[in-house]
This record gives sequence, structure tokens and C-alpha cells, in this order.
Amino acid sequence: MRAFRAPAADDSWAGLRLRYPPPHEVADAASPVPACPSYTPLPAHRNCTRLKSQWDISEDEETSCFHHAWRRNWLEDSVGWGLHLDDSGKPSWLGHSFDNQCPLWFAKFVGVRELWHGYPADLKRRGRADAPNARVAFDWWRRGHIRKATFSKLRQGKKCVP
Amino acid sequence: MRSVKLAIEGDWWDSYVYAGLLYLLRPDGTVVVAPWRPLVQRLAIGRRLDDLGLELAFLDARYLYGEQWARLVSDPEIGDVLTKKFERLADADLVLTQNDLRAVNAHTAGGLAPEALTDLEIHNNVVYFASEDGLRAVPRRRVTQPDSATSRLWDAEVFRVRAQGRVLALAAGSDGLFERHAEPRAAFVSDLIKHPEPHALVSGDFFSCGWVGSSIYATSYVNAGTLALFTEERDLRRRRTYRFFEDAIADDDLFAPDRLRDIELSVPETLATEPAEDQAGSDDSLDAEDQRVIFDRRVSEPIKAAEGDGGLSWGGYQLICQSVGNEVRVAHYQGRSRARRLNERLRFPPSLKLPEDAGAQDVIAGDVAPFGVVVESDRDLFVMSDAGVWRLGYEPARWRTFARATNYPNQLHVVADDRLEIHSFNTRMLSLLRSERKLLGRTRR
Repeated sequence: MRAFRAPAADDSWAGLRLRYPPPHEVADAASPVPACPSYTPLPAHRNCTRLKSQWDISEDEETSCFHHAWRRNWLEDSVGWGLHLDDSGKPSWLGHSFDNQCPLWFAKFVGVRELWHGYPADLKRRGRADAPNARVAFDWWRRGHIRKATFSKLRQGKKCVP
Repeated sequence: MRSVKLAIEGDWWDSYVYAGLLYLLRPDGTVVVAPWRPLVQRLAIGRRLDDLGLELAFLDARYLYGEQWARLVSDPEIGDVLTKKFERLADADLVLTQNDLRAVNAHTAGGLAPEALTDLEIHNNVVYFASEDGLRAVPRRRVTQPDSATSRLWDAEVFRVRAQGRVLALAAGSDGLFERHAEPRAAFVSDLIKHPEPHALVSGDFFSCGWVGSSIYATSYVNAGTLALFTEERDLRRRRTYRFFEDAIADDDLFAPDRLRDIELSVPETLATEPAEDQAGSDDSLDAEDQRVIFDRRVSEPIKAAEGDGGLSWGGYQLICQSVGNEVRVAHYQGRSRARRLNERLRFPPSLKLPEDAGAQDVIAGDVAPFGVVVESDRDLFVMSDAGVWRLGYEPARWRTFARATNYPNQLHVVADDRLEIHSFNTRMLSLLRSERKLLGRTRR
């Protein structure tokens, strides 16, 4: 995996009004924020239910993944996306597709009346329904969690690996 | 099979070459516009490079596909000379830097395009930006003017926009496949004319689309790849072309000729009663500027895409391709055929094969260019043609071909982490695309 490369001096972002600002301008853990919403792992994503992608990480790790996504502001009103990061800040595999054909590397979270649950996102079988929006994908890239190729493919709607 | 490679250093997001200008986009939406010929000519400063080779490889590829050049370049001796020129260029290190962009007075327009846009298309002097925010457009001449702004044409998220004639094909993710009138030649009008909302053709989840004659092929991971099948009727006296939406055909059906026998198509009267071969041109495109394309409005509801269980499929430039294991199956769609049954309008040339050492690659996207079939796997990019298989050797961030272009149909633009690579393929057109009598070239110039 290639290391993240910061933009060169010639590619200055200064003076541009960015819709997706660089990470230091995004609310982080140090900012005053409301309490983290309630999260409940769903059994259907652990008991091989048909057509449900399955978690490979523990329920504690799944919940941590959600809390991390919330702290990073990767949640919208009723939908969000998260990463299970390793020590170097790169995404690890966190689940697999329902047919066990494809390892999966980011999670999609869904909130219904402040109660959230999540599952491993599967771009191949669920298409754009599981893909992160541009703001979140942009933040993943600017923080160095994903490569430029991965970010670009996410935006183009293509399948990709971290 | 080798390409001539030109690299432009920088953190680019996308690129496009159109009418003598190179458009380079950064991830933040900044557009850098550079005059293409002076930029290419800077490669030859202080070194001995073949001027004719550079010209043919990057500035004017009409010699490859133009009918007037065909007799000349098909001569074996001349062909050998050209091949040697390209071999020498392929050995050279062709790199342009930010200094070169400054030296040719490249113009930078900040904040014009959306950040992290999904696709870009330039057609009839209008620039289209596709993004999560929808489809936006700006007349091309305004890109370099101060305080320019784009007009929003549609609100839905668009993943791929491809223009042909007076029509835009739009792959809108889970919203489905749409088409819309393209804007008129904006160089001559003050403002973009607002057309009605895009017209839904097929419901499904499509992340890409391409033109196959006057039909549109939509690509999907979730459901079957689908051909939105149109027939066209040309009114030569009024210089108009009418397109009629016939049906939506799934990829698995397209590659099963037995199933296609039941699909009966209409044969437009103008095609059935008069040959009009010389008047209508030799290709399947609707690109002639004097033709007005009018949608058929009889289809009020989009057709639902079938479930997909085969390999990924894509279409473009009269070919429909489907990846199956390490092979790519190919169907040649003859849109101008007068055959009533769909199976009689399709030919099935032999499959193309990925190299053995490519391993078990998961094909994630594809395209068809005049120089070959482009196949993107999860870690590499391949071009498959009569001349063999070319391999990029790394995972690209983004790539694009220019099948519609007159001067640049031989180019493949590849965005890498820290540079843009422009690969020029100087081989003859795919034999799959050669008609029996003459080349199906884009241009007769």
C-alpha cells in the first residue's frame, strides 16, 4: 500500500472556499459535541442471515467503529460510514459479503429515531446504497486513511479495496 | 504492444483534451487550462525528439483513422517507418512539470468545478461536470473568464455523463439510466438553454454508461448490464434524426443468440426504403452537426433492469463486452442493420484474453476505444487489441478514453497519485471495428 502523499506546494489549497475542508477544520474530539447516540449491534449481521453482510470483528470493535465515526463527524442525520483502522491508520477488513465471496472494509451505519445499527458495506451487491457520500470519502482521503485511487473509485461508484 | 507515454507532474484528479486545449482538474475543483500544442512542443526543447512522431502521437491522430490517410499508412514500408518513430518516442522520458504549465501560460480557474467530481464531459463547446450535487454545465469559453459560474442542469447524483450528437446519456447510480438533450453550441449563445428534466430509460443501479451506435449501454454491479436499445430514423430532407426506444436488453441475453431471436425490432422506413449509404456516412454515430435528434416520448415509464448473475459488462463504440474469468466476450452491434431480429444485428468475434500472468483479476470497469478494449481490474489497467495486451502495471486513480475525438482517439489518460500519464496507442483500429469495405473511422478528413 502506498503512503499517503500530501499535496505539493504547487497544489496550494489556500484561498479556496472548500466545501469539504481539510481535517483540521472539521470538528474533532476536542470540540464540544453532544453525547454519542446509542448503538446496538444487530444479530442478523452475525448469524449468516441470507442477503445480510456479516461482521468479522467483535461487537465491541463494531461499536468502537461507530463511536469513532461519530467523533470524526462521519455521520449524517440518519446514515453514516465508519472504518476499522489498524495502528498505522489504514482500514482493516471488518466483514464479508453474505455469500462469503468478498471481504469488506468499511461500515455503513443507519440511525432510526436515534437508535443506530450498522453492517459491513458491500458496493458490489448493494451498489450506491452503501457508498459513503463525497464529504466523508473526502475526509477519509485527507486524513490519509485511504489512497487517492480508492477515493476516486468511491466517487465514481466503482468497487475498490482500501 | 507499447504506448508512447507523456507524464505531467502534479496532484491531478481528472483530465480532458478538447479542441487544442488540455483541461486538468485538481481534487478541489480547480481547473487548469493549458494550450496543448505548445505544451507538447516543450518536450522537444533542448533535446532531439521526432517532431512528426510527437505530432502524430499526441496532437493529430487522424492519420490512423482518417479515410484519406488510410491508403498511405497501410503501405508496409511507410508503416515500418512510423512504427520506428513511435518506438523511439516510447523509449524517451517525456515529462512535463508545473514550470512547463506556467511557461505556456496555463490558466487556473479556482472553484469552478465541484470538489471530487465524478465525471467530466466536453461536447459542443459545453463543459459538463457530474458530481454528488448533480449535473452542472458551463460554456467552454467561460472556463477561462473571471468569476464564471456553472449552471445546474439536474439535481440527482450523476456518476457518468457521455454525450453523442444532441443527447447526453447519464448513469445516475441507484436512480437508473437517463438521457437528456445536450446543450446547443454555447459558443454562439449567451446562456445555456434550460431543457426539460432528464428522461428515465432503465431503472436499476448503474455507475457507468457508454454509447453503442445510437443506443446506450449501462453498466452495473447490482443488476444486469443493460442495453437501452434505440433504432433511429433519418429524415434526410429535413436533416433530422429521430430515435425510438425499443427495449432494454440484459447482458446475459445479448450473449445468448437463441434468446435474441424472439426480440423483434422495427425497421424505420427511411432505412428500409433507401440505401442512402453515401449520404448517411459510414459510422453509427449521430455526431453530424446538421442533424437534430428528437426523443421518442412514447415510453413514459422506465423499464426495470433484470437481475444480474454474469460478469461485469460494458459498451462503447459499437462493441458490447462482458468479462468472464480471464476472458472478455465481445459482441459487435450493427445498429444500422435492417435485420428485424436482434440476433441478426449482432456479430460475435472471438473473445479477448487477459494474459496468463494477470492472475485472478476482479474486473471492476471497462470501456471501448478505437485502439482497443480497456479493462480495469482492482489493481491494474489493461488494453486488449489485435496487437496484443498492454498493461499499465499499477492501480490508476482514474482513466479516460476519447472515442469521439477527431484528433485524440488514440489517447488514454491515466491519473496516478502524483502525475497524469497520457498514453498514446498508435496501432490500427481494432479489426473488430473495421467494416468490410472501409474503416469505421470517426472522421473522413
